[in-house]
Amino acid sequence: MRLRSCPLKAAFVLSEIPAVLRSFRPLLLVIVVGLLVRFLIAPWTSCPYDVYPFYRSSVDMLAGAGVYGHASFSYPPLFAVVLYPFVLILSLFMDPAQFGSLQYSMVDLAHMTGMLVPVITHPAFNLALKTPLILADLVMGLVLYRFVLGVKDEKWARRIFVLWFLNPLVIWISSVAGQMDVFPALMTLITLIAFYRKHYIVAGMALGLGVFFKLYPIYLIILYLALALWLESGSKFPRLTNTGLKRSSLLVLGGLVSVVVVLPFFLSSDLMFDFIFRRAGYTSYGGLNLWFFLPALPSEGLLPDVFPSIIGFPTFIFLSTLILVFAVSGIMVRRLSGEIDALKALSVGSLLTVSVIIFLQPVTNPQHLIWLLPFLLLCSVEEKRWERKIYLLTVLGLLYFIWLQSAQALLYPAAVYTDLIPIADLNSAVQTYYTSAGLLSRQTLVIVSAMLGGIVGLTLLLPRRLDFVDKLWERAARLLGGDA
Amino acid sequence: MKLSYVLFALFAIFLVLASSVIQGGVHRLRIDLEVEIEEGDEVWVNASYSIGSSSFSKSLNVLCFPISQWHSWPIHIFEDARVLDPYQSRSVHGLYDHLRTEMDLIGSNVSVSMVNLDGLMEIIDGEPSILILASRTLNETGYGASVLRWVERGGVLFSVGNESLPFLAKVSGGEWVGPDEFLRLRYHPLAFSGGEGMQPSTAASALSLENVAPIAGIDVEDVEAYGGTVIGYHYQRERDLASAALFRIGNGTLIAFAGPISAPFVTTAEDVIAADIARVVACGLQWISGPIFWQTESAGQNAIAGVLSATFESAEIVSVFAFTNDDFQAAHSIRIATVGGSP
Repeated sequence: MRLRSCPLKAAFVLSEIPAVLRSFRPLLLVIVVGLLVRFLIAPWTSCPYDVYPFYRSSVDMLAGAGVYGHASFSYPPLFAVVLYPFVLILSLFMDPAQFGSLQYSMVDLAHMTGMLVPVITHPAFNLALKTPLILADLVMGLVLYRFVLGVKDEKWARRIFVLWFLNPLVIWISSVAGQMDVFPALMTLITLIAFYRKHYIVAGMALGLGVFFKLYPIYLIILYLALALWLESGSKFPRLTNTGLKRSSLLVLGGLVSVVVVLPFFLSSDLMFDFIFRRAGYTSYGGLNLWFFLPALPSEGLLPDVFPSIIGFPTFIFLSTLILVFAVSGIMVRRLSGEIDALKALSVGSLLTVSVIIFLQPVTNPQHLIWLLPFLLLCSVEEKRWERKIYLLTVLGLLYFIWLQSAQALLYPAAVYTDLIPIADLNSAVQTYYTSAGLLSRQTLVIVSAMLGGIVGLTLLLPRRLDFVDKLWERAARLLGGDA
Repeated sequence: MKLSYVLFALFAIFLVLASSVIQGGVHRLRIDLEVEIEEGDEVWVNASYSIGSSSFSKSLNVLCFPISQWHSWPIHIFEDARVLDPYQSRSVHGLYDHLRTEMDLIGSNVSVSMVNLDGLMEIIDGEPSILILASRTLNETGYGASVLRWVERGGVLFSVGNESLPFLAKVSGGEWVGPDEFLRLRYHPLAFSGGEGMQPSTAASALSLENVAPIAGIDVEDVEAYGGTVIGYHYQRERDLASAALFRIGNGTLIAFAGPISAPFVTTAEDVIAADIARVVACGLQWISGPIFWQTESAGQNAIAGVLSATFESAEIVSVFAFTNDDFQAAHSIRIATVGGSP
């Protein structure tokens, strides 16, 4: 049966929903457990530094000042757009002026740490902020499940779903930290799937939307354009064909369509780009990447004078990243001519591209590891070592997050809005942690976890025979008498 | 057409619609403000104000004071990577971003721009305007003296932290060092201590200034010795300290914020310093020439309406400023009225 009109087609397609939902029945228990854990911890925890821009942009949007009304939100606008209906609904039941409260008792601690904003958001606001993140976690898991089910089998699809949805780092980032990295990561996954299924407009559009959540997917444009131009060229040396040009045109067209989504922002404010790129131009360094050691220098992670350069160090990093991403794209195109299939080229190419970004960008925080996970999961279907990277990055990402501020610093909503923990006790615990000295001092723990994370990040870029971390893992597993 | 693509398309449509609503469809509160002036032996000002209801609870501050002059001078912020360290550079960029949005929300047409060292030299050689120094600048006596001359000619200088004030005398071996004309203001480290012993000045209450927890305070004794006025908060410590003070110097004004830009946001950083500077500049506090009359009204989510009456012994220009002091809703209204002339 051929359905002629678009609405009829849409109605027909929507009638598939019950069948699709039924196909998720094997995941029901995992879904319930994953949601339960997330919704239980979401209201009572927050990262008092990272949550502030989301809080500020929420009240600004509700007051009509827009996403960038007080210049506190420095991301591209789409997550604020996704958040808007959730805070709008909350505002029907709660005065937005009560979404957060200024805690004078935290100010001295905030002076000392430089990593706290003494505004603690209300549990109801935390729930409104984190609900779209939790839903996106679920959608990401289901998209991975359906895709792996199609390209592999039920066993692998379930395994990938569990590895994603019950991953402690994933739960932590959405439900404790309240960071929105799952959205751009989801868009990059949709890009990969749509490209693999030869729906190039959708792929371009998803990639474009990803950029308007966070900027990093912009680097993936190079990879996807290269693959679109030279995919299945049938020759040892890639050459341009009409089919390749058509594919890449459709990809670009999809990208342009995505611009329509943010057109209201382009038309109403010329300040948006300043705020977004102001953060990109910041010169602090550190985290789970090549620059893990810089916060230990006297310059405390800011651009030290030991790197004088004509073009400036941030520009040097940007150009290096660009060159490596071009190299990855070139390698994937060459490999496509013979050794590997399109899915592997897309998965490994995306993984390597994002790994280059993670490894070289000035600051890599644990939430950035979420960018890698969908690709690591897809690659793990074919090669065991990628699954081990997931375990390592999960542990190191969590340790880094906790050691950066202390676990207590994430419990302020419970302290401020319940009688469970006195806020003075939390202040005291956080201060003790920040002033700790010796082998288990905050600085040592942060640098060690960052270094290990950086090393694992480096090995993502190495071929298997040079992957010394994986070799160590296998040796340790043999020593312990288990299966590597 | 697959279900997944239909859902994706619906998501994209939702994003378009929500973007349009957020950027253009949400009603912003507006304050209606009308000013009547009667002139006799004294000057009587009646300011009628009203604001509608909203989903936010809110309070409204209305203030009125005489000013000696009024100009819509541009604001320049000094930033030069050749002089500043990366942290200062980042903070000053942040101040610039926040100040532009604050001026935008107020509805001010005053331009805000950043200038490098060359631009700074041109400004202090030129006509009066508004200059913000929020970082360390040149440590040269000649430069400090030039900035002082510029202020005396009518310039308005905001300094943020002691290192940014070019004509501040230094202390060496317990003695003041520097030209006699340089200010001898003592800046002391300040612990916020949960706001203990903190009292707002009249200007801080009237303008609801947000920079409540600087990491340094200016000695109030020194402020008074120079005939200055505390416009920020007082902190009762071993000495009486202030977060900000205003000094009339020749024809110009120095507004000195005690603390440098520092963490955290909301109490100490560039966001609140920008908000405070924006309010000061917008209502012309830099040219204040008499007492401030002010009142605040809280009304939950309901509408607010009222009248502020003020009497001045003499006034040529009067500034009347009304704003929502929670700053969530960023509603402002300003009237600059000339006594005996058209507003």
